[in-house]
Amino acid sequence: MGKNIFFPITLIALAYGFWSSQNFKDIAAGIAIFLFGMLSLEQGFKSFSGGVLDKILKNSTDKLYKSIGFGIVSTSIMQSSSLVSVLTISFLGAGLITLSQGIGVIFGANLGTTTGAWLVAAYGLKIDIGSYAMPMLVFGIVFVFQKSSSLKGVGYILTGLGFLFLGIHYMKEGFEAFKETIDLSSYAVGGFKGLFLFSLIGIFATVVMQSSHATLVLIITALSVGQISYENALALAIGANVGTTITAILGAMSSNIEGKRLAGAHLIFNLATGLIAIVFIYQIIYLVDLSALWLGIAADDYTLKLAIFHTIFNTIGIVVMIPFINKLVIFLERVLKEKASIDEIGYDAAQYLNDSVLEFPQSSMGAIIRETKHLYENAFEIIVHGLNLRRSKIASSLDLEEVIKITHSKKYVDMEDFYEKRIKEIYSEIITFSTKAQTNMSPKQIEELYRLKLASRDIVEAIKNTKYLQRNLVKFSAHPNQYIKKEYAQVKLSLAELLRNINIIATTDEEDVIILLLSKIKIDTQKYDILSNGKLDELIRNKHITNQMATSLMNDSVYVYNIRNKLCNMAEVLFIEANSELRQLQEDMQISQSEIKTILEKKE
Amino acid sequence: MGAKKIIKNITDFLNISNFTLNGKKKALKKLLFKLKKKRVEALRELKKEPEAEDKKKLQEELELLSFHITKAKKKLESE
Repeated sequence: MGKNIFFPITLIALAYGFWSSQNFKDIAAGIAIFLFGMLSLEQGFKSFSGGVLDKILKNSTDKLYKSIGFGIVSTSIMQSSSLVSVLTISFLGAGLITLSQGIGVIFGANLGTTTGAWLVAAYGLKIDIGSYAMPMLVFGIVFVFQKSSSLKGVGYILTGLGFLFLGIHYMKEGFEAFKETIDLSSYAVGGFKGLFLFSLIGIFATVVMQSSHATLVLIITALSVGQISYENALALAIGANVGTTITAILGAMSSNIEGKRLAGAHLIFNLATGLIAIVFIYQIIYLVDLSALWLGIAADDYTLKLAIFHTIFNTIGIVVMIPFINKLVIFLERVLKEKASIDEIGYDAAQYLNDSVLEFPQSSMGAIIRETKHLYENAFEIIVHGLNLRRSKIASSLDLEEVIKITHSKKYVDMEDFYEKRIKEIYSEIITFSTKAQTNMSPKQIEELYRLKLASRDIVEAIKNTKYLQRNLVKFSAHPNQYIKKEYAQVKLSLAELLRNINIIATTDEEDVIILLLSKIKIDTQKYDILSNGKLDELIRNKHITNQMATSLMNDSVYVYNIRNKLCNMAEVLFIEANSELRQLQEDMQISQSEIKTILEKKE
Repeated sequence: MGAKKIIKNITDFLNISNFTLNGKKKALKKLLFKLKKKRVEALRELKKEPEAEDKKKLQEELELLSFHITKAKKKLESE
């Protein structure tokens, strides 16, 4: 609602400004060109995010100190804390980093963004930055029209920088002319009241432009031409720091709960830092003066002093907040609770598939893997309950002969209902998301994605086969014919063992255990096949079962065979990381059909 | 000089061209060690004269272990 009103009001205010003042038009055009430059810069960096950048990001954020450092460096290079925030949200969404590491990146990005103030203060206003803009734009456009995506990326970065410089140039010109007509400094209010007032203006300006960088450039430019006083500029910078969180908040609206928490952390951090800066403003100003003296900056060079102030108060914020990161995480997890994805009637939806990660192949892959594991968790529950077993007992170390005697409920569950509520939606979302994600992937990644799609299909097929099996399992598990009853108990036992083994594969990182269990599953699939092991012939020959029972047993053996095969294939893809040492080992050590045959023949 | 040639020269100079191969061999050796250790444990359990059911399971485990040990050895020799 607020967003709906805000947009037309902004348009009307801009139109009024253009109509009433030529200088306002210059400043607004400068801001617009500057923001467009940022968009172009983002586009350029995204061109390099096809896997390599993602990998670097993943490895650079796995520890708190690294994530803070990463936030500083990446934002300094990219000159866009919003791009860094979006990437961080995407990593969080994909589960590649934890919330505390994400917070570290945001803290670092807050410090990294201050380099923009240094660049503008040190160079932007002293040299004719506009003269660099045109060659950059021309070279940039030449690169943009190239076929290679890397060259295109370079082109977008160059045009982005060109537009940034051009934007600064226009803003500077607008303010210089503005100075002669209106004197903003005459509106200055002294003391803390003035600090709060200009902080609010800073927040408002940043919310409108959705960029603290742009606001800061605006402040420095206005300060350089004497439109605002030094103290007012400091307050505006504090406000800009708080206002910038709006970008993350708006971005997090379409994100999952982790993204929302990260935006919450960003807001809390910037509010706390802003409050500290206002309360201790005079002490910080003293520190700025000392630093300026030490750095050899002139006492009246307020633009550079503003850059020092920006850096100092963000550094103080980080130092103060680091000890509270864990408490902040606990607080955010308590306040922003994950909406249970399973609603009151038992429906479950995808948890990790966030469209914001689609542009980042590695993150998309991570999200799909996590979602497929989520799908398997639900499938595990359905299959176990379909066999009328208890999940906790399967996962325990209890003897399986005992486990199959402990039933889940008196009645067998409705698997169709379970499937509709807990599988269908997630499965279709995985397939849709994968299709969208693969447009940004390399051929190798598409190949792995295809395997993951097959794993999802295997999970669904395993459920369907369990559903077909369930009818006779119910019928013959309590049948007076002891032979058929024993055969179905054996079916239940073998599937319980399969589910337990897959559970171990999913939770261990011991490569020998995984390789041995996968081989065992494959051998058992042949061993328990009632058609190939001769058991069915024996039962028929000895007239232990009727013809009808034999047909049922024969049909059901196909379902059991399918369940075993599908789940084994799924485990090989889902629980063994692609391109890992274990995947290579598994490929080298996996047991072939002929080897299985030899082992089984030896036993006979 | 093409980029590929430069990379090849550097990897040759640093003697890391067979880096992946060495990593693979190392992983196979580690696996072989673990499998052998498991076989020793299984044999020890078998010597304790377990019940028929457990004995059957242990024998099956031993067979599988022996199969993988032979396979790992063969793979190591061929690398």
